[in-house]
Amino acid sequence: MNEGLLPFGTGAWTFITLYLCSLLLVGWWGYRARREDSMKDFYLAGSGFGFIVLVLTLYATQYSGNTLFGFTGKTYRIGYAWTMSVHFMTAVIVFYLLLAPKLQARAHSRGFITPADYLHDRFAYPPLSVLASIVMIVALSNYLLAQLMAMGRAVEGLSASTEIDVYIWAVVGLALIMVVYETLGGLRAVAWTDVLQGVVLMLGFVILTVLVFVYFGGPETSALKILAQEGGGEKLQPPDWAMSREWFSYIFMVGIGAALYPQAIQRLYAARGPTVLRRSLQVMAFLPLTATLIAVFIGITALAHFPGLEGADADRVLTVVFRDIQAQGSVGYWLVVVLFAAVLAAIMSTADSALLSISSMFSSDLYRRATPGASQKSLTKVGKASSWALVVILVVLAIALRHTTLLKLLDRKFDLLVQLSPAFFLGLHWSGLRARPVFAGLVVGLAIALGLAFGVSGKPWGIHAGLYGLPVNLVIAVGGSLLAPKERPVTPG
Amino acid sequence: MKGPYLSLKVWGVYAALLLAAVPWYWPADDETRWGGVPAWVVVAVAGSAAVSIYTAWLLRRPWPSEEE
Repeated sequence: MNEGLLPFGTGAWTFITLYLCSLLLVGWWGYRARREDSMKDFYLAGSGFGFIVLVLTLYATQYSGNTLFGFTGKTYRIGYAWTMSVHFMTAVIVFYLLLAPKLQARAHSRGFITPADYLHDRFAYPPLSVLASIVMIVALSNYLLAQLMAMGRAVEGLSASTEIDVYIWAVVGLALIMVVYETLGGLRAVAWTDVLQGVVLMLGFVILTVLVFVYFGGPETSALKILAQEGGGEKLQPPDWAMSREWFSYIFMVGIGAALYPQAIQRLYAARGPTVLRRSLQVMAFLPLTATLIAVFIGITALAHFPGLEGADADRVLTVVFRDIQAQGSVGYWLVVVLFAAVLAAIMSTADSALLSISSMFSSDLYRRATPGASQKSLTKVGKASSWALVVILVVLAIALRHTTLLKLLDRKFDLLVQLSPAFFLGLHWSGLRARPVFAGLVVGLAIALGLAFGVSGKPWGIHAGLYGLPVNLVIAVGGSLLAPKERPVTPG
Repeated sequence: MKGPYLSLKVWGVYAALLLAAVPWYWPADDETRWGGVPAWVVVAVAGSAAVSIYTAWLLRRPWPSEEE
């Protein structure tokens, strides 16, 4: 089934085009505002961001195409049990408590650009820093791929046209706009567009909530309709013990994994100071109660009013809701135009941050280590070139893998990222943690996580594969550090 | 340097909130709804809100690096 939106008219397309052009304009402003051709200026916006920009860039980066499409789709499939998404997005901020204060202070005093710079500074063991960078690049490329696919699906829903393949044109066109403003202005452009995108996204969430209440009724209406469906009662039931295990697994997996997102760590580095970062995190602690909870509410409403969708069509259920609102008249039509801009904002703001982060890790962690004499200017150039190359590869993959569901892609990257937690969380607080055991733990943890994820199933006994690898990883890192002969002295924080 | 949130009390509170916020203990056949929302969802969301409030409360104090 592909029940697209009613076609947009000239006015609507003009609005969307102006919105997209404004992103390019912001990219150009970011380019004009650069102070020097250095990695710090391009990847961390020089002296850093104040409170408003930091909150909005963290918000727009964290809440993505997965939140809007993946989370509404998942709620549509499993019902209220997806309320767990509110918990795991809150858990990310909780785990920042262990990471942010020390990492931010250390990054400012040592001039870190990438997460691996911290590992290099703390452990001085190149195999560990390089492997960590590769893990983060792979995990983030996976994430970026999911965002590109979400872009394609969002625009595909706009048109029922069979003459051209809208999905392909959307993925190519939007990825092109993104890579242009990203390579023009670096983090400045990405964060400034995040401000615009964050405001549009917040506005979109508010409009969506009001519209859904007005057009479809509140939770009681939805509950009665769901109960009237065959098997609908299950979608309102509390999680049984098996599902509860999955909740705990998601909370630890996403809480730890998303706290270690390279693009999020780089935003900790890019905060103007610790006070700005601390206050931004205070605000961030409450945002899951708005963004994620609204996605659950929309998913439940869609389940009540538009039952019967499956697979990739369930991921697109938001489009079906939009179509219905659009059909209510000109007010509904124009509100959907704004909502559509919010969807693009959510997806592009997450994708551009992931892209910039990968580019920084490629040029700073891999290329710079391979060519120690490279100038700042040439490193920045290599980073920009890698962005273009990566976008080309991922656009091809997004087109080839278009029928995979979003959540499957989401799960794999956290299996990998959580294996880095001993090096970051423990490494910051315990000076006795040694490089070689951390490296050995990481290798074994990754092997277990990937072996289980692809060999057995994604979640044996309802627990994510990455969480089987993590305890073994931790035992090796801690046990090995306690038993290993003393290395050079290190400072944990 | 000891981290500002490395205390048993802080993580004990989080563990208690987590156990309350995940409704593993809720009777499977309970159909109570508050305002159309299943009661267990309201409790789970309230648990999540408590985690948010506690986190923001912990973050009210300046970090050691702000005092340097």
